[in-house]
Amino acid sequence: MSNLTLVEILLTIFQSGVLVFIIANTVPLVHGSKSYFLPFFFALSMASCLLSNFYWIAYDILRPDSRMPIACNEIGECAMILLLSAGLDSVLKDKKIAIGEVVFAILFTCANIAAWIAWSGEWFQDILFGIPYAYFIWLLIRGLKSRGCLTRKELWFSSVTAVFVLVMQIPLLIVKGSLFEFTKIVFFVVIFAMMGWFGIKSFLSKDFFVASAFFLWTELAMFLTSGVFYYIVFAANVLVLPLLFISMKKELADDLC
Amino acid sequence: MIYAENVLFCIAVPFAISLLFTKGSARRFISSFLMGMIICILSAYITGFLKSFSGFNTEDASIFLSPMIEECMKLLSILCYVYVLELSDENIQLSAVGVGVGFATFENCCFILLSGVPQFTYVMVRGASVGVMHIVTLVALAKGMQLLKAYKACSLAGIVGVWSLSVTVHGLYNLLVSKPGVSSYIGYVMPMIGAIILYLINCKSED
Repeated sequence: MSNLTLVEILLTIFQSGVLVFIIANTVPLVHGSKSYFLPFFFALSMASCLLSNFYWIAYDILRPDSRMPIACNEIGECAMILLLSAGLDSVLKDKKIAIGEVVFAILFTCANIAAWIAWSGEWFQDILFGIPYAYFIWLLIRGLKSRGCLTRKELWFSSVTAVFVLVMQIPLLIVKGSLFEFTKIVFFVVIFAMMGWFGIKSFLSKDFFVASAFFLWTELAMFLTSGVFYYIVFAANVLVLPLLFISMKKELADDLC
Repeated sequence: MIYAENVLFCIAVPFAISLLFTKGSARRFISSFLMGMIICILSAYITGFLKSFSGFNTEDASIFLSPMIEECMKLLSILCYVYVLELSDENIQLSAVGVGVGFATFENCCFILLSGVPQFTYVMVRGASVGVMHIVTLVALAKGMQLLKAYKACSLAGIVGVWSLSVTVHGLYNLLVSKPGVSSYIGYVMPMIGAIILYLINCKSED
């Protein structure tokens, strides 16, 4: 077992601990609140993530350093995204369908799926398990826009940066030598700067949609990075979970007011 | 060589005839039992087809493909009970248990007939682990659907969420028992722990 796999196992165990804490604190909210949809879906989503983690840990220990083919944990991850979407949907009041937002969500998801396929060559699962992201992204855009969590400029900035990071995949796959190294540095600077920005925004606003956008960004960044950078993004992904929980609780408190 | 279809026919016919002479819960349980056996054989057909289509070897197919296919088929049966037959919560659970028992019984029968006479301890462990696991995942699916109904959250996301829990538990079991040693012991114990937890939840919800 390589050192990187060991780091991954330790991080996954840590994330599982965080998830257990979050689930244990979310379940009482399901019974105790009037708007039980959000905590119900949130708890189920975290449970899916937790079981998926257990699967990863078992896989990493039993088959270290081997690439996992299509497996059950991917259904867990897909379910997690769908359940979070259902939670977001339950608190989203303005569900107006704007063509531009829908098209952006679909195109952005398709571009991501294309990048995953180019990297892994796994057509079937990348397409199948990528589809829920389109719905998740649309909900995020709608929520961020209608609730005024981000200004118009900030929304444009985040959209353009997300597209830029994806476009950067093309030279990363094609070019070699010093140009490749330069592109790689720019790529990681943008990814981590955006992550920091989303982190600060979600910490300050404690809004469920901003925290979900931060979560989505770390998820997508995990798919696009490898090696040490992957583990840094993974650590950020673990940190998002308490933020998601806090913002979900705030959402419930606001709903009661 | 004994074909699985022959085994199914041999076990299913007496059960099918017994439906003529039973009523109420007993009839529901027997019909669910039959459904479980049919689901088991259909799952095996689909897994076999996908195995040859995907190029997986037998071990990989049982670890990665069969949990998804089997749980998908089980979910379809539960969805049928919930939405088509519109059973009450109590009957959904009864039917789920019936399907689980039928599935596990047929799978164990085929296993014993195909592998000759394995060691008694191994047969015991198989009965207490994989047999129980099918019941646990089906009861968990039924409980999950009841929960979704109770919270009026029967959406695609909710159903996929509940399904993902049963698939991951099943996949985790298959993965753990695929290697000898400590991991397989954890795997063998897992279904029994799941059964105890579900039993306690059941008792609490009945109270």
